Amino acid sequence: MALKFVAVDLVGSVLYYPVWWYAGGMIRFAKFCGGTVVQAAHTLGFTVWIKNLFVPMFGQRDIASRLISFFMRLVTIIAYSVALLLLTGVMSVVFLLWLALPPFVIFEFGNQLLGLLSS
Amino acid sequence: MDGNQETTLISCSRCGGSGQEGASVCPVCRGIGTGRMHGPLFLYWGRRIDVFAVFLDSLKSAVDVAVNVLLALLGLLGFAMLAWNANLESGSVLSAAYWHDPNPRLLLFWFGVICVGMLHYRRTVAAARQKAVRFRSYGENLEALQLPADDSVWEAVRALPRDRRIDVSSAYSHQAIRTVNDAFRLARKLRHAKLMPAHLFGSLISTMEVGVMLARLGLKFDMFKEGFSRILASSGRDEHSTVLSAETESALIDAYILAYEGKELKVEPTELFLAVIRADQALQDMLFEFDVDSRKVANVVKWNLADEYLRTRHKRFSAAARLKPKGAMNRAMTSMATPYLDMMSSDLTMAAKYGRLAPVVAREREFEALFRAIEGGRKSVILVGNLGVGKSGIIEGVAQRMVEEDVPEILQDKRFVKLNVAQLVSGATPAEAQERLLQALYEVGRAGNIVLAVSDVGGMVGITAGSGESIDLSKVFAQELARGYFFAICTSTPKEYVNAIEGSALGEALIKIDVAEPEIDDAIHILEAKVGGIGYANGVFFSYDAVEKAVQLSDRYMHERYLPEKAIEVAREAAQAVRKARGAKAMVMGEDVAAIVSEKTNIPLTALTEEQSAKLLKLEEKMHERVIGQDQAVEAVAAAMRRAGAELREKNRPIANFLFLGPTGVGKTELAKTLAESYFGSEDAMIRLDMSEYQDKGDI
Repeated sequence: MALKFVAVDLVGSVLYYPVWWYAGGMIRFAKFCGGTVVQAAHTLGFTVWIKNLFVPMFGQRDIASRLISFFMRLVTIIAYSVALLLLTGVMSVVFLLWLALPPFVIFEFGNQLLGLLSS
Repeated sequence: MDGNQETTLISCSRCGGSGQEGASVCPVCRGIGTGRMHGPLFLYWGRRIDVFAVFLDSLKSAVDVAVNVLLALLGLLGFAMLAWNANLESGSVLSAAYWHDPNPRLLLFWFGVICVGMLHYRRTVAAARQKAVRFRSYGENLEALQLPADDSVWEAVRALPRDRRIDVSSAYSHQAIRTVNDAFRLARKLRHAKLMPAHLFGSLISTMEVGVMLARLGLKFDMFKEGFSRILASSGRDEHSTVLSAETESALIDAYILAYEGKELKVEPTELFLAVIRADQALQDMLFEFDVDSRKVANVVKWNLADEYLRTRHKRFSAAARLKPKGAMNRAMTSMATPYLDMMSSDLTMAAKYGRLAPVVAREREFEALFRAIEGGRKSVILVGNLGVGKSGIIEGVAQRMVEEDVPEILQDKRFVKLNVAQLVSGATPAEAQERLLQALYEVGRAGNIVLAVSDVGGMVGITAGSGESIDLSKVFAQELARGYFFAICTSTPKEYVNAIEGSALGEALIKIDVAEPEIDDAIHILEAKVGGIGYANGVFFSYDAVEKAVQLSDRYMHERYLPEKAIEVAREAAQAVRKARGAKAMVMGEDVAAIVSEKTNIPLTALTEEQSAKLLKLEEKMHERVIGQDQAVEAVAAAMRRAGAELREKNRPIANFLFLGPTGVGKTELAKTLAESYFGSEDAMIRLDMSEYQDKGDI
């Protein structure tokens, strides 16, 4: 009786594996990819830079310093944006890999199996 | 809601609380059976505990482990095959033919990839199945449940939202579940009709967490083995089945409540242990024989949780600390270097970032008051408390929270810098000191990202002792503070505050926050968090008794200083003494701590030695060697001394007060001298006030 329970559980878990990959697993992985980008933005202090766009750097409050500071911040923000965009691109590719992985693996596995059986 | 309703179990009248009707689920309670309210929550134990369920559980976990190990091995084998293949056919790895030509090694590799994916899936799903204890957030103010007293209660329970009707077993950790299963096996093996808290106690003491707690309480299994067997033997027998008793069900729910109130993630054996002892009077009586009551158990549970908290906090803190910038620059890059200020200050946030400050525990109330004052008044604050109550600890705690940015907005992305008043005034005339202060404050203002900490701000008051040109530094500081371009957290003792600050310009500019001496239990919790480090430094361990005695005895006998500092110092000295006397890995016991306090205060505190008790028992005889007659007085004095020796006296009063009446020469003074000599060792061990010397006003 107990063995039957465990066996059903095991078979169920094998059958649920592909479903999970494209349901719960996919959501989890998407969160992980998004989280990596958000964490990177946080580490760079991206929002802090945007918030302080018009605040002079290093406590220098004269006009020239303010101007220099504004452009300096602008350049930094642009550079950070590019970096974050790149990272977003990389994470998107990684996410697509997650989606493509099962069909690809099954195809390769089947290919090898059929090849070996026919040879 | 009345407290009674909160602590009584509600049982389904139809199924008798089992949740089952025959082989199917009870239609009234839908399988819940028995439960209990706690504030806004309805809690129940939803896991089946019977022979089949427990067996299935262990079978399942064994199979799970086996399957996971197999998957991991197959994955490894697959990758090994790939490596082997690459070795055999090197050079062609990038060609399509390499991957597409049939090859048993590559077949195994792809199978290995599938296995690794499956292992990941199984582990993720298993982790997701484990629920956390419901998180009680600050400010959450849900109404307490009001359930009908009759049978319609189950309808009301079923109508509750999911997050308020909780199966507590889902938040039990794997280990806690295993102890419950083990307890059931123990009960079944002994053919007991009910699974009692005592069975849980029996399975809990073999877990590591509870083992640590027992060691800290100075308990060994052999000590209470007999008593425990007696408690177990008193359970009723049943040859065929064992069911959960109401007390056990209540204890299982209580453990969840402890974890919920303590904001723990999971219910661990630690909480279960406390709940089990609270649920069973017989267990309490058994432990009481060894001087362990449930308050002590609760404090040791706190100790275990503090250890765990310090571990997880360290992880979280290091992650947050990485984001805090090094040096003078803030994240917004608006600040600037402060070379002059740096000469007479130390950077607390930097020290916290690099983990040089000790963690702060049991100070939630003070932090809350502090942050409320800062957010509400947007004015600088002063912490007023006696030496040693933990003002510096709170300051350091603020620095640590600033590193984690877990502070009001006004303190975020700032440096917390401690101004050293001694360095500011040393070797300077008052005018120079003022100049230094203004220069430092000028830098603070320019940088704009600095919060100042000023310990013992009273030290600034009265720097007026100059020749001719005296200036009160505190007035300058207060003036600048009032201009509002910087923010400070100062500290002071109550005496200094009343004498120098209250009513002055400085007092006007600061919001006062009182830091009281912690209560005994809070001080115990603080010391529990500290002794780990003290013990580690000296290579010894602390028993709970030692921690408790350090707090209680220093509180009772060292009046010139304050908790928790005096207790920490006593603990530190005791650790050193034990290390010297008994070597590494020894345990610091209550007696060791009592010996240190004795040494510091000259009051005998260690348990009476045999010699001393013999002396007390024969005190009359000894005194009669010197005093002839006066039996009534001698007996009264000796009885009072024996009472004191047995600790049967009021702690905050003298041992006894006697008024000896009689004409000159009958032996009144002689009796006092005799007591001093025979019990305290010397005739001089007494203070004598001759009131005849204080008859005029002028004498006093």
